[in-house]
Amino acid sequence: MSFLRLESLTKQYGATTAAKNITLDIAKGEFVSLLGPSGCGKTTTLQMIAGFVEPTQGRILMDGVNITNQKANQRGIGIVFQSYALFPHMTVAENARFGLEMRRVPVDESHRRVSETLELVGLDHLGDRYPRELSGGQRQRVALARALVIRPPLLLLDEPLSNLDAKLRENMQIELRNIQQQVGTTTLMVTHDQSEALSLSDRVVVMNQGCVVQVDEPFNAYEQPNDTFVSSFVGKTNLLSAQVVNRNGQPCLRLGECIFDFPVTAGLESDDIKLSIRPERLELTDIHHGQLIGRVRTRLFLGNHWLYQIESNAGDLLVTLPNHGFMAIGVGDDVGVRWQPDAVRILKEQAYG
Amino acid sequence: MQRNGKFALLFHSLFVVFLLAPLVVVVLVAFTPNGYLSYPTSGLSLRWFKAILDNPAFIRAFWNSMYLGIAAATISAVLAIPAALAIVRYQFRGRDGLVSLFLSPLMIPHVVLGVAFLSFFSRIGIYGSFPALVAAHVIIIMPYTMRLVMASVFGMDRSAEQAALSLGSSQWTVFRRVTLPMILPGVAGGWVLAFTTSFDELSMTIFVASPSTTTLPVQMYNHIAHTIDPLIASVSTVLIVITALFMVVLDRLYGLDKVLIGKG
Repeated sequence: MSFLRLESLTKQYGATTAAKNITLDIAKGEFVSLLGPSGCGKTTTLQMIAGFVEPTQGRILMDGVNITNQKANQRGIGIVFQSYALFPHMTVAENARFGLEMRRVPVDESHRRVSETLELVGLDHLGDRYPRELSGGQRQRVALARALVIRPPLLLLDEPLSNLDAKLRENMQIELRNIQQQVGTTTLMVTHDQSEALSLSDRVVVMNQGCVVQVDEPFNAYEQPNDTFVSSFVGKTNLLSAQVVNRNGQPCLRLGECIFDFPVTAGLESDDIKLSIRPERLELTDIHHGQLIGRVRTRLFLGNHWLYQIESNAGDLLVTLPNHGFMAIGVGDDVGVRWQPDAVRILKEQAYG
Repeated sequence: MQRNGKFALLFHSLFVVFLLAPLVVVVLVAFTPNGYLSYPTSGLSLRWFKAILDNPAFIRAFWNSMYLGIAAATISAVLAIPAALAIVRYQFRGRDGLVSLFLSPLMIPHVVLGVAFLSFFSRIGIYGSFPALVAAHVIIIMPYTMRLVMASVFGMDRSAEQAALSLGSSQWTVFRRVTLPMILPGVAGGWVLAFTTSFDELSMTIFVASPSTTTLPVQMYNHIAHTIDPLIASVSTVLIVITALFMVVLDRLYGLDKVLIGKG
C-alpha cells in the first residue's frame, strides 16, 4: 500500500508545462529520488508536495488523506533546502527547536528531542553556535536535524548535497542513507546528480521535460534504460546507430562493419535503431579479435580506471578499463573493440514532451 | 599587508584630512574665551559651553530634533517594511510608479518641498504643529529607508520562510520570527540613515517649523543670521561628541558596517 501517492499531478505556468501528469506511488519508509536535468519539473513536483506550489491538476495523497489543498504549514512535512535555509539569527539548537516550538511541545520534551536529533546528525557539541560559524557540511546537518526533529511522516530533500565539495558529498551520502534507514522516514529527494540518486535511493524516478520517463530500482534504471534519454542521463553510455539487416534469412544487427545476431530483433518498428553499450562493457583487444576496429584518439587517467575515446566506423566510442597498474595501449594505437552480447541494449527514441 | 600604492595612500590621507579638518577647527574654536569666532585663540575657556546652558532655546531645539528624528525614522521604517516586501516580491500594476513615488523626494529640491508643505499645511490648518513636521520629515527620509530595506528584502533567502512554514508556522509567525529578524540589519541601517537625515535637515524644515517646534539646525541658522559668536561652535562640538559616542556604542554593540551597509 502506498504511503505517498501522486495522481496525474500537473503544473502549468501560462503556456509552459512545468510538470505533466506525474503519477507515482511511494511506500512507507522508502527512499525515492526524482532525477533529471534542470528544468525537468522535479523541483516543481517537490514544491507541490511541500505545498509551496499549487497544482494545476491532479491530487496528492499522503497516508490515504488528500492533502492537495492543504496549506504548507498544515502538512507537517520535513524539508531540507538546497541553500539549507537555516535561520541565521538563531543558534543551531534554536533552529532545531523551531518546529517543536510551533507545535507547542513542552520544554523538557523539546529539549530532549533536540539533543537526541542533534546527536543523530553528530552535532550535539555545536548547539550554541550560529549557522555562520559552521562549515557547509555542518549546516547541512543542522538543516536535516531541523526537519527530522518534528518526526515528519515525509522528508523532502531538495538537492541536499549539491553545495558540498566532492569528498564531503560522498561522506554525506553514506551518512544520509544511514540516518534515513535509522529513522525510517519516507524520503523523496530531488537531484540532478545521477550517482547520488543511484547510491542513495531504493527507487529512482527519471524525469525529462516535465514527464516521468522511468521509475525503477537504481540497478535496473542503469542496466535496462527505457529510452535514449535515460541511458545517457543515468551513467555514461555509447549511443550508437545500427541497422537491421538480413543475413541468411535471419534478421541481424549491423554496427559499422560488424554484423551480429541479436535475440530480440523481432518487433522492431524501424530498420534504423539506437543501441546503448556502457563504456565499462566494452573491451579493448588487438585488431584481429575485435568486433569493431578503431584507433585511440584520447586517453584519460582517472585514478581507478582509464577512459579511452576510440574512433571507429560505428562512431566514437568511450571505453573504460580498470587500472591494473600497467598501461599497454596509447594514443594513436589501432585496437579491436569487443563486447559480450548481453552488453547491448536496444533503446526507444525518447517520445514525449 | 600593503594593499595601497603610494599614490592611493596619499589620496586617502588627503581625503580624510579634508573630511576631518573643518570639524577639528570647529572644536578648537569652541574653546575660545573671546566673544568672536577666531583661531588661534588667546587661551582656553569653557565660556561658550556654559553659554549653551544660558540659551534654553538651543536645548529645546535639540530635544525637538531628537523627538522629530526618532518619530520620523521609526514611522518611515514601519512603513518601509511592508512597502519593500510588496515591491520586491510581487509584480502588480503601478509597482514601478510606487517605487518612483517613494524615491521622488530625493529628486525634488528641499526648498521647493518646504514651500509646498508650508502652503499645504497652512491651508489645512496644521502649520507649525509637531505632527505636521513629522509627516514632512517622513516623506523626505522615506527614500533612504526604502532603499536599505528593499536591498535587504532582495538579498534574503526566501526558502528560510518556506522552511518556517513547513515547520508549522502561521504566516504572521513567519514574518515575526524569520522575515523581520533577517531583514533587521537593513531596517536598522535605514533607520539610522533616516534619523541622521532628519536631524540634519534645514532647508525644508525652516519653512515648516514654527517657534514652538524649532529644530536644532533651524535654531542654529537663525542664531548665526543675527549674531556670529562662538556659541555656534560650542553647540557643534557637543553634537560632534554625541555623534562620536553614539557611533562607538553602535560599533561595539552591533558593528558599524552591519548597521550602515546592512551587512549580515
